[in-house]
Amino acid sequence: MSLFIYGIVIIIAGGLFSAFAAENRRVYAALAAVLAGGVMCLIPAVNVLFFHGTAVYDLFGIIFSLDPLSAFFSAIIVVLSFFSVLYSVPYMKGYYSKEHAVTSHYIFLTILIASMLMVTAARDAVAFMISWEIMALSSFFLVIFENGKKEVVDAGIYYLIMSHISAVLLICGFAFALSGGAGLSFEAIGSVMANNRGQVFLPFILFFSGFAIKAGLVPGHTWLPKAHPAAPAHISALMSAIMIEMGIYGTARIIMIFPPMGVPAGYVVLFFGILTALTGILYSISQRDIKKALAYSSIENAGIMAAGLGLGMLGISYNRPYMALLGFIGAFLQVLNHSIFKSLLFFGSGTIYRRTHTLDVEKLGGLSKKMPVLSLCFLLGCAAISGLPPFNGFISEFIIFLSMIQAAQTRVIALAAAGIIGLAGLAFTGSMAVISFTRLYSGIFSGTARLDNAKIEKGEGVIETLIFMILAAASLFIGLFPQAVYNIVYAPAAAMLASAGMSPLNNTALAGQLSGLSGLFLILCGVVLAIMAFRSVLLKNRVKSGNTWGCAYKAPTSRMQYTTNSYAAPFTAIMEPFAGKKEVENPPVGIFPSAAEYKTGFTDFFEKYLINAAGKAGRGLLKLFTWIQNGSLQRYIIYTIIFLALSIVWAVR
Amino acid sequence: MGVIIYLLVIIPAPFIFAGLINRVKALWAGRYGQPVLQPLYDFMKYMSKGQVISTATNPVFKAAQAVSAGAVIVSSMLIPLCGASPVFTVDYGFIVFAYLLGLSKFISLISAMDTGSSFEGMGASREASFTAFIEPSFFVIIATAAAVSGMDSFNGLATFAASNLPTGWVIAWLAAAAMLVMILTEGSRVPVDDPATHLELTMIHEAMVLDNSGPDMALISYTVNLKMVLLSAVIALIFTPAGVSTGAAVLILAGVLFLTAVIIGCIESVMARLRMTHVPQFVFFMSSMAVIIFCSAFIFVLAASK
Repeated sequence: MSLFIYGIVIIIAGGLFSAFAAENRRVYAALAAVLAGGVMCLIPAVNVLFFHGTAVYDLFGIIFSLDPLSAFFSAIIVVLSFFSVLYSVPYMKGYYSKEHAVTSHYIFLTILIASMLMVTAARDAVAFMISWEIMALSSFFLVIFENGKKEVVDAGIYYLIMSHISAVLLICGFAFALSGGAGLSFEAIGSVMANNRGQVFLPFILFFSGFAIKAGLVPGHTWLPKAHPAAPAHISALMSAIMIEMGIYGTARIIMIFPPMGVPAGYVVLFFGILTALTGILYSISQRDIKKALAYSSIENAGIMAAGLGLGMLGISYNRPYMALLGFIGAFLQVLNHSIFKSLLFFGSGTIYRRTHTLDVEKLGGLSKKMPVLSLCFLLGCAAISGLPPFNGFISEFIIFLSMIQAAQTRVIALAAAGIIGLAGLAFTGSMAVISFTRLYSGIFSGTARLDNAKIEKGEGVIETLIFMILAAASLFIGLFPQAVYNIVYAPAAAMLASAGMSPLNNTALAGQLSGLSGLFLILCGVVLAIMAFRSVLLKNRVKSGNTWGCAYKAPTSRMQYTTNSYAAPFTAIMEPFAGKKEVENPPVGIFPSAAEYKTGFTDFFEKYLINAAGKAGRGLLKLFTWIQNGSLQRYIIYTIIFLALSIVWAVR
Repeated sequence: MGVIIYLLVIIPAPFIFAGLINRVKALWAGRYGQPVLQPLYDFMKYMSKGQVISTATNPVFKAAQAVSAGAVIVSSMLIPLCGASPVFTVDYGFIVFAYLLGLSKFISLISAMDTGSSFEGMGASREASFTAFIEPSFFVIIATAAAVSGMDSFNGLATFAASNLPTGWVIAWLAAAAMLVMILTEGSRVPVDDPATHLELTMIHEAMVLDNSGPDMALISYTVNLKMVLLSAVIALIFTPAGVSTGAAVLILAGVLFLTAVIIGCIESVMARLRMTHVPQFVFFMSSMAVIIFCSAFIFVLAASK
């Protein structure tokens, strides 16, 4: 039974078929294909996750198969892809009958979805790399959808280059791992690696850095804040909520294939995870563009996932199964949660862009009155992504915290110290996330509108509203009843442990812990509702409305409203050496002041000092070879002759 | 018994705590001062008043203070009082405790920004920036206690004073001092914030709630006092040895609450609020304490146990 493969084929076929439909029907063809194919892919995935089924497919000798890890990721891909395509129904309407390639957009969209499913199911190096490349290329074409704009194409090219650096690193990793000559399959790689355990670290680092670029871990994160604002909203959601998690999937897969590694690898992953979480959220505080802020927050979330994986690896190398289980469960639950609230926030930003034509938080404000449902759902999403109870983001962070405390209590000095430093790092990430998302929400929705009312387009679509409500409800549901999703994330985490030769644990402790939390959060809801009811009884007929208090000033305007830049200013001032905010200030001087200016901007430390510097050095190096390609045909003929001569010499040698 | 202590801590204690601070300040100023239960009378007064709600706000503003108060009340269920187990036992409850306080802060910030007022925006941005550094230090202190004691909750805090190493008491006092900084910051007291100031530009917490009135205002003042009481109860845990009788534990808790209120009152009487630019330095005081506790616990306790 190869339902999974047929599902992938149907998704791609639907995309191709959509090209023949009328322009405003194309999306429905793609939607139907993703729905039908998605369900076909979901059935085996659910079977593997919940009923310990197996799914192995032989496609002309290339093996695809689903284990709990693949099944978990492919289930997320299927569900969120469906939402993404569904969201594109209202979003893409504005782009019909313009100079936009809607046809190829849907073809590439379905190819991207299919290739992500293939990445999770691939079981040998070649199939994996081919799927990986298809994923990178199709997403590149999706990013440059609005290819009339220069910054969009620039962002796309930047993304393409970063993707290929990632691919080169992965190919190097595979080359290293395949040098044993046992075969291309992942099992063969695993057995080769198991035979020379001394040399596992270097290929692991190659793989990890390749996957880290895709996942957006510092310093390979620089493509995210460029590519996400350039892409259409549903593509940003798909890329941010699912595609970057393919990097996490890859890292998890490598941990699974490789024999248990020495201690350093775990510390490396944990370190980069925490560094990424801190950097990502700190930079998201300084962004004016909503999508850039969200992109940096995706970087942060990828960091939290990587930290969970790192803790899992450390748990394996120090032989602490419970800590490892917590680390992996935390990482996978974070993947699931992030895919929910990040797509909610990106879809929200899409609707904001569609109706106001701007993504600049300094120009928005007061939208809660125009978009009440989105406002509420966005608020829930912000609370969830800040990791606050009783939302789903808290549950995954809590489990990662638990893993860190397990590390702290081991009485192994290095591990205990790493656990506590990790705790501090993650806690600081949490409190910065609160700043970042209160800033974002209040900039967009609070107060009065800075935009002219007439400039805000009408029309809150039913589809959009439904999607927002479903995703926000899912965030709240997982937060209130975490035990409901426990089995979904336990299966892949247990598989990770089993691959390291650890017996699957008695898992009642954590499940009990989660039901305890669920009880506490239900009490929280009860207490809040009781206070609200009491308050409304007290206030019956005693509420007046008036102006916001402004020291008795009676005519406040939206221009006097506090801006997001000012909101973040005290914090970015304290964090000045790290925050990346740049200020140019020439205040008016003297009695007759001449021109004065004030500008704020933003620089990404890693981009400026690492990526751009490396790029410059690389260009400098390549410049030395420019004489080879100088455009003169005669020289090229000489090259050919020399090459032929050398080949002949080599052949007759 | 545990439930009675819990109810005493969350219902009368916040009012008496605030009343004590006021009384101490009055004594320093040479006045007789208001009754100790004045905060309770104020609470009742606010509860009976109506409310003016700004036209700039959205429905979140109306729900915000209920969520904020609810989160702090529920967080109080996680603290073990007087050696008894907490009302609601969650392993490593301090994480949930801190994040519930975070939820309370989150919704207060949102509600302050919702009015569109620059004063409230200023207050909110300061509150957000200064308290951001508190949580990591708090986690380091409690996690260090958990690492040393092997216990799974706040109860591990007693281990510092109980360990028979010469440094144990020093670490315990450092932890208490760090927690005091946390109380002053989270409770918006001098030297971080001056609750008695009349100038909006120098306020932090008071500026955030300029547009709140009536029952919401009552909830806000109760919540901030309850927060201080809960954090003082955490200090009491540091000095409550394991296995002490309930009576002694109650005395320790009452004593610590009383002393903390007196200390806060004295601090408010003898010094002025710090300049805004210096507030972060004061908050970093807690971070450096946390680092010292972490390092010394590791050097003396963990290394010795090896």
